[in-house]
Amino acid sequence: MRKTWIAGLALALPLALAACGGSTPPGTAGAGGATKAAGEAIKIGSLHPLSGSSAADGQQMDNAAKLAVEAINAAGGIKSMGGAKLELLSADSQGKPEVGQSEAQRLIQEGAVSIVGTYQSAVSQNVAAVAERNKVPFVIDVSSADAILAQGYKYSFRLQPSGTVLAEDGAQNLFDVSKAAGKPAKKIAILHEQGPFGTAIKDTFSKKAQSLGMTIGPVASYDAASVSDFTTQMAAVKASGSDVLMVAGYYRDGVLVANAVKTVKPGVNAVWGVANGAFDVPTFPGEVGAAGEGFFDSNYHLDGTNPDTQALMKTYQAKYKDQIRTAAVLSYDAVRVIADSLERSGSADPTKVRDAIAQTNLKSLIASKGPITFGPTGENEGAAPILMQVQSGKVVQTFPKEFAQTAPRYPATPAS
Amino acid sequence: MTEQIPSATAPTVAEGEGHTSSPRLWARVPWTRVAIGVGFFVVAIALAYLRAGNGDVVRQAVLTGILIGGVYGLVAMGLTLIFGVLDIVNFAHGAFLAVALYITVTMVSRLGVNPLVALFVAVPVMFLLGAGVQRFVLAGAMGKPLENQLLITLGLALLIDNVLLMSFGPNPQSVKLPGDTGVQIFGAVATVSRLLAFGVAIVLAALLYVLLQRTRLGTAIRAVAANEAGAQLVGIDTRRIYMATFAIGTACAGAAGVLVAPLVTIEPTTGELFNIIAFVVVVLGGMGNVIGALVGGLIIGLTEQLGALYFPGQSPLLSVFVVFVLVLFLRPQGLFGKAS
Amino acid sequence: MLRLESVCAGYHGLQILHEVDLEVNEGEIVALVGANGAGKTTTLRAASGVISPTSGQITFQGEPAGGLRTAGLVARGLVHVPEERALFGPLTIEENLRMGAWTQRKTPMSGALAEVFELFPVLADRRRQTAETLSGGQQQMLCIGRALMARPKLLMLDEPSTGLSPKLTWTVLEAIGMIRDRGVAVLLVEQNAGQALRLADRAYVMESGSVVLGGTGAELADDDRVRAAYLGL
Repeated sequence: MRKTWIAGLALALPLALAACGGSTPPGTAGAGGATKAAGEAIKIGSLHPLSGSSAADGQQMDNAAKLAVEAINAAGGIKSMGGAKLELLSADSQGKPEVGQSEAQRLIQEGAVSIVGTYQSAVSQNVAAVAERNKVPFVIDVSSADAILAQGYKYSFRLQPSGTVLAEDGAQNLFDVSKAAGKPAKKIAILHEQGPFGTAIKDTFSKKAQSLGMTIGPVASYDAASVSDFTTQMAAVKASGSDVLMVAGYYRDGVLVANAVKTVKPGVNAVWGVANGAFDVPTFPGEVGAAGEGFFDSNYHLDGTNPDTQALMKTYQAKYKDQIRTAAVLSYDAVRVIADSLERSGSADPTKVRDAIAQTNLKSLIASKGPITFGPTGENEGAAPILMQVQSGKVVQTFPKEFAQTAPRYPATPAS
Repeated sequence: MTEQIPSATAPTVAEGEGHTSSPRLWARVPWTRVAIGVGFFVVAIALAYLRAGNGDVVRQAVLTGILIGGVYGLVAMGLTLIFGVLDIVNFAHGAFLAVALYITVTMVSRLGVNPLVALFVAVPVMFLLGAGVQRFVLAGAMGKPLENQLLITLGLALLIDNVLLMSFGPNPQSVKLPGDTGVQIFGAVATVSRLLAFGVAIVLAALLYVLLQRTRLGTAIRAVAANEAGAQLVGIDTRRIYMATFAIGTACAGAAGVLVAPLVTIEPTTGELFNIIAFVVVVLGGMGNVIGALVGGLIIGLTEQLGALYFPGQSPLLSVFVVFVLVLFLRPQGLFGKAS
Repeated sequence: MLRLESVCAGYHGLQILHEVDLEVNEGEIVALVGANGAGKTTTLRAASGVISPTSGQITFQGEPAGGLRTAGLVARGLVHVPEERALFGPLTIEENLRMGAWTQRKTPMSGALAEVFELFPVLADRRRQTAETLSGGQQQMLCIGRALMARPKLLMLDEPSTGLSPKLTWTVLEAIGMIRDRGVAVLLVEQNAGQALRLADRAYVMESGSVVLGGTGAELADDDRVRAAYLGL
């Protein structure tokens, strides 16, 4: 019947498109865990949102993982295993926890000895459970929720700083920078997306800020999926007399915040992003123009002063004609961690790989306070956010000193 | 053959309301309900003022709410028209809006024109696209169970999203209206782009209303919505009317897409943002009622903004939800819907 | 003008009409009477294109008409007013009438409207009132008026007296007579056999999906079997 055919086609086509963009066809069978003979490729799973609203970052992350595998293979593969090559199995989580879960299961069944991913905390939560059940290590490149590593899982590790570290350092950075500029922050208004991510940042930030003697208010939240304007919230900030506006949210809403700040002119000393998905992204200044000038973001960020990172940026630009963003650099690092662990364990047995990962001590391409090392719960103890600011239409690193490209400009009252 | 007959006038029978002497468009407006609605908002604004304690903030909320609401109304009008006439819940409405967003992006980047100029291209293109979709994809699903329609329009939305993703990539894009500055209005501020979006949306909504009430085609559309069998019996080709109606609805989504293009970050999934709001507005205003969609849009817009003042720690969606449930509880068919 | 020859028709495989033969000529009123379920409504629906005959021939003004779409037949002058009236409830009387003239783009609207209002003055008084607020009798008049706006050559009416008081019924039937006098042929289905037979020029009686009797109105009104079965005499 025509209608069922049309409906079937309409559904099958995007699935096929997603599949083409994502997964490779099933490889040779073999449950994860078999030791590989010398010369056979070692499979690493890469699970990211290749479609859906986070596809922009998800596709970059998968691309970067591919680049890492290519670079490692070009340098001779895993030498302790006879030069064994790596093979990346890409999968699309579509940003959905159920899909992420089933895709992770599938990757393991296809022989992945480790999984890298996933971006959304809800997806990573499910994948962590799958990893634990199957005893296959899962290296989280991006996902901020503290809860993921609070369940005693032994097989999950996280590269980015946890939500708690991001929020507390964000408050500390604000305190330090504003005090050094002679205008210590007193009253901080908060605008956060209402989901677990934004709420956790708001809660932890508030607690830390208050412990440092600052006051919080007013606090407003919003639904990132449906918000279209912030002029009302901005008017409330203006009326409240707060001297700093803290914003925790994603890219789309970050752009709207900048527009509202420009329209309403709330007269704050600074707009202070904490783990903000917009303010340190290279396309942000171009999209909002003068409206975003001076915006801060206390966030984990690729280290633009590191020559290896710079080399990666060049390679990515040349191959994909696009500027690489921080999330993708984390995926690159995640593959490096796995390769390094394979090198040390000399075995593709997932449990041995897991043990090697736990002993990792590797310099990161992300700006951090130390090399990548994992604590008892799997958190990266070297991970820490740095402070970025939009200056003259570009995102630059300003604090701490060892990563600063220029000094921070405080106060940075948004452009009039 | 006939007997002696009385004169050929029917006996007058006592009637209900008789609108015998008001030929104007606004005779149909239910004034009591409008008055109640306005009264409700005066109270709501007063409450917001008490809560926020600051007149500037309340003024800002009201202004932003009305401006956003107008655009919500335009999106919802297209959706409700499609439901009222074709009985189709069009889950692809937001995706069509996204297509218009990308038409705008392409025109601005290739031709360097003012984004509003894209209206002249997007609206006809979306009209034709809607006609084509209705004719070739949806016509077979008419009158079939609801699940078929849901499946098809959902599948269509997925298809459009993925085609946009493949053609334009996932990276966010933007367009800017030249000379976009803040304008002071009654102590609050709004950008030129938002004011224009509102203004054009209202004009288009008025045009749609006039089309439906005063033109032959519009009356035929209302006739088909009222009684499909009756329409066929007067000789109306209902297949053509369905096609035209769906096309008009899609054109509304297209116009709304062009108008909001300077106001949002453009990604393949941006359309979904408006899908959710459009459905809430359509149900609130009464499914199938075009005036209801516009009024519903304004209500949701205002609720969203005033809600940010009532419950500052909570997402404004909470207030929208409260109002939505309240209205449906008191009047399940929606504000302007027909009791079934 | 309208001729059905050996027409069989039904719904979803259930056959209702069994080889129905009837015809309507110019300028006459033909009544179709019979009990509930005799197939009268189905006959009209087969003629107007709402359902398709499974066998047999239907011709209208010499051209084949069986299985064609309703809208096309309306344009040719065959107009059907169903028992359920099918009015456009939220639209006004005037809008309903204007829609009736959908197929008549060339004819000036005001002239056609004036004719209908002359026939049914009570509609003129309420032209801006919506159809759903009218009484039963007014709705019936509106239905017929709407059908007349299409300038029919043959008007098919299905039980126009349903739900009407005897006085209103008489008014409606009288109007039908005037319509015939203006040159429109009428095929009238009625359960109210007495008045229908008195009004009609010719008539048929249907039972169980077939035509069992045919003749002039007066003949059938005097027929003993008819009088016993349908006139309660």
